[in-house]
Amino acid sequence: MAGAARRGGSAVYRSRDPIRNLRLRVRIQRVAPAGPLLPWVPPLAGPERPGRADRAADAGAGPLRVTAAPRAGAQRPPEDEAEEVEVGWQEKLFSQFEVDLYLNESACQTPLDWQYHEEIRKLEKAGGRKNCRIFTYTDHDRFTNLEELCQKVTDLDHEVPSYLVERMANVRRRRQDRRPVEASSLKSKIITWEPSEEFKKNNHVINTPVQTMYIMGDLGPYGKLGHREYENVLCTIKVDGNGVITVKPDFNGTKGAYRIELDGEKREVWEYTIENASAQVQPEEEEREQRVFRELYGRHRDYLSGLVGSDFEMPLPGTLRLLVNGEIVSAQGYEYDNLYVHFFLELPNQWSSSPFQQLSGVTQTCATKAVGWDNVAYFCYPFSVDMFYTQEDEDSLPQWPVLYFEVLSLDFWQRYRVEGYGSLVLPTCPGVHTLTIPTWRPVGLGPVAEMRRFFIGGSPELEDLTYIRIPSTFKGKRLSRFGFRTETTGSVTFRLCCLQQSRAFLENSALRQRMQSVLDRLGGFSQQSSVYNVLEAFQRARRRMQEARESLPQDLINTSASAVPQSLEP
Amino acid sequence: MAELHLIGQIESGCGFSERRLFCKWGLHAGAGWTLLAGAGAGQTHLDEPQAGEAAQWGHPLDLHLGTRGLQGWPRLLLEVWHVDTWGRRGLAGYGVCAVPSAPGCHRVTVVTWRPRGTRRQRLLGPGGPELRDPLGTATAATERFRLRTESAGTVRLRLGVVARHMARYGVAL
Amino acid sequence: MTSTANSPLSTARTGSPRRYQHCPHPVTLSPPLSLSPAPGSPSPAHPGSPQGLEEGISQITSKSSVSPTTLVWNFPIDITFKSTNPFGWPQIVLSVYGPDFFGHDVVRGYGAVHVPFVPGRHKRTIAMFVPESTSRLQQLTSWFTGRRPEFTDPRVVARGEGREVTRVRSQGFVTVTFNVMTKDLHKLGYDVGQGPQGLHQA
Repeated sequence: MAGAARRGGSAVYRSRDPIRNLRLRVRIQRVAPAGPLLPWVPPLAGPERPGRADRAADAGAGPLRVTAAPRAGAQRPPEDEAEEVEVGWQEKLFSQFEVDLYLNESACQTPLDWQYHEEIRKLEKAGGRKNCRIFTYTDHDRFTNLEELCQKVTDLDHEVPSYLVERMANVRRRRQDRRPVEASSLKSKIITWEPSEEFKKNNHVINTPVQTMYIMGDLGPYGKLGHREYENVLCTIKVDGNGVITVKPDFNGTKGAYRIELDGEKREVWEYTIENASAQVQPEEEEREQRVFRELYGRHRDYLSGLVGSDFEMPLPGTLRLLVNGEIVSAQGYEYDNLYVHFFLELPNQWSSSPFQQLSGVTQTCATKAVGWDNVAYFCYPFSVDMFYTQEDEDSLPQWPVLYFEVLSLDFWQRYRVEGYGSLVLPTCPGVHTLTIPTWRPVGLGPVAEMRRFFIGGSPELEDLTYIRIPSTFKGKRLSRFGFRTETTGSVTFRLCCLQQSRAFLENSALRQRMQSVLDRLGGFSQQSSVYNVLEAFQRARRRMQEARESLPQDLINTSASAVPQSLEP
Repeated sequence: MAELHLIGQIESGCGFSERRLFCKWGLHAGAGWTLLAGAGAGQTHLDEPQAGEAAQWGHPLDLHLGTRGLQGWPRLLLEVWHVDTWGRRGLAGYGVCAVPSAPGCHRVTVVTWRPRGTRRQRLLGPGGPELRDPLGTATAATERFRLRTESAGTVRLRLGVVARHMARYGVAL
Repeated sequence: MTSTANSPLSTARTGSPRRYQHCPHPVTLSPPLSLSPAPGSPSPAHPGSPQGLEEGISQITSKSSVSPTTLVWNFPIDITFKSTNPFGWPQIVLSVYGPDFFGHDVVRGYGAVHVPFVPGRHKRTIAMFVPESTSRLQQLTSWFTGRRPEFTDPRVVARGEGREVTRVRSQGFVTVTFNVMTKDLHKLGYDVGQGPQGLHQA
């Protein structure tokens, strides 16, 4: 009928609580056998059933109570048609077949059989088992769900399960096989040099140990319970060591009941629902757990800050600290071999650095190798520069430091030649920047200079490297390089990680400021310094007041103290 | 205290004279930095590539650093070694990489170089001279000008950087 | 903070394309022990407690005439992790198996990659490698008998320790696509940068 849910989809849940707290409620009810002349019975109602209004209106009844389901014209007693059972994890409920089998002592062979025999005898003495049709197979029972094995996924007529399916079914996913993974055993046996077939069977598929439980229903006709052919799997629950619970099919929830149609002449139809009946965690307990976690986390945080220290080095107020972790990566496209780079950093006005800070450097001499069309020299030369900028005048824009460099080659005969000059303005935005700077070298007029460079070495050089950009001696308005002849040579690649730190950044949230320029953020400097000055003045005044207070005669202070009411003292 | 997490992989190395390579790596930082969790040094497995030219390592890096200042930003020192068919080890290259300062995922290509030996050494192989103090010479870089080196291959890294509480101290990354 | 990864595990490129060979490649995925705190270090409160399935095995796939060098699984992964500390960020460990020339089921490659922490869509190509023995004779016998060296626990590829003694041979790549969402990273003070699409993280 319309509205019943399809079986088949499994659901995965996770829980860190002990699995023994899991409880399920299963209700099963026979619905009318599928025949044309028998009266219609309203189907089993789940907890909430939206969309059933039309049917309910026809029947003139609301949702049914499960156990009482009278049917007009029924010849069977109503107790057999419906059953509700609450099952715990790995709780063994016996079927009629098992009761008949294990009561007979000759059928018991294994200790498990004997144990069942005892339990069944006890049950019989106590008045019979409580469940009738619903029973369970636990992890210890030797039950395999053949349906799972032969499940077809395509519409092929002769679909044969692949070797992977057989392997997954056969792998013994039992707890005893699990090898504990420790660091010491790992070191000695990381590799299995000659894996056996058993090892391969286990390792090539998922082999996490899993405990399974099947909730079964004996759907035979009344009075004929205990026949194995009427046993149907209602629900399969698998729990593995990581707390993953797989329930197939899923709990009904808002879906309709699941249906089983039996083959046979009667073609009976059964409907059942599965619900989670585990005790829910109390809000107080949950809160207590959260509190414990928070405390643990807080203690861990304190431990870490104890290891490192809770302060952080801050620049002076009103300054910007620029820290550049740079690297001269490589130089490519040059004429000669055995290159090295000599560089220095020029700090404009308002910039300063510590006296121990090295602002220049020389790389090693590196022989090139051919990569693609170019000859490349890999320097991999790291350098770190720490600079401070103090804004004195708010109206002027800061000038950023410049890195000047020259590439030279040194050959076997100890001749050195200038290969190129270049400059690089340090990036204003913090972050990682990879820059490739092309270089040029001056050439003299006529062929003589080039021949000298080729034979003897030496070439026209710049006396003042700042000429690469704006010469430091230049004061005018118009820079002219007319008459200066150069030739393009190769390029040098730099990788710069720029960090900026300033107290002015503390006022604004970091994310928004990514988009703003450094200048805007620095605008708070004067405000910052004035606030700082006010705070300083306040601290000084407070200290003076405290000193003055201490120097007052004692009896004056005591008098003021005794004016406070002393009603609290006995 | 500010924290920095370095989560990534030493992926592969290529362009070296030999194909059978392994990489030794180490993290070095200033005095204000403390390694809170994770191994600060290690060695990858030895790989002989069959698919392509690059030796694939896929060595995971997971480090948790705490710091009291920005000085001495951490650097990774890489040493690539090769092993020939007779099992002899030789140096293939040194490389240094500053941990990227911007948070996020970065693909870094570290170039390597190795000290240039005499012609005889280069002919006979494997490897050549090695540095007496790789840490001082490769990372500190003040004595680099004494070296004569030649370009070796490149190492590809995938470095993910997560920063914590840096904004609290006015640091823009 | 929580981080969710959904991904169709897509393709593999093998080193030596062999047309029409039946190459079944089931893949097992399992996060490594880095989910739990490292031994010996004080652990914060709940380290990663995942939701969703953390293990899976794919179907068997073969090369075809339309793609002679690529094998496609399109295996979906849907998992959520929760933690208080990015240390031990989850990794995905892949093992690929298949039959060799004689029909023995052998391992084709192991590989691991970190789940990206930047929100957005990411594609990662993982190199796959197998352990190899040092002696040529042993290599030859293992090729004939089909008993090639395997890692006892594939999760060792997600760890850095203990790998310096292993010799491997890399053969092939597997591509994984990740869609990552994160929550509360910024609230705890972590800055992970912008994603490739510039997603503003929560």
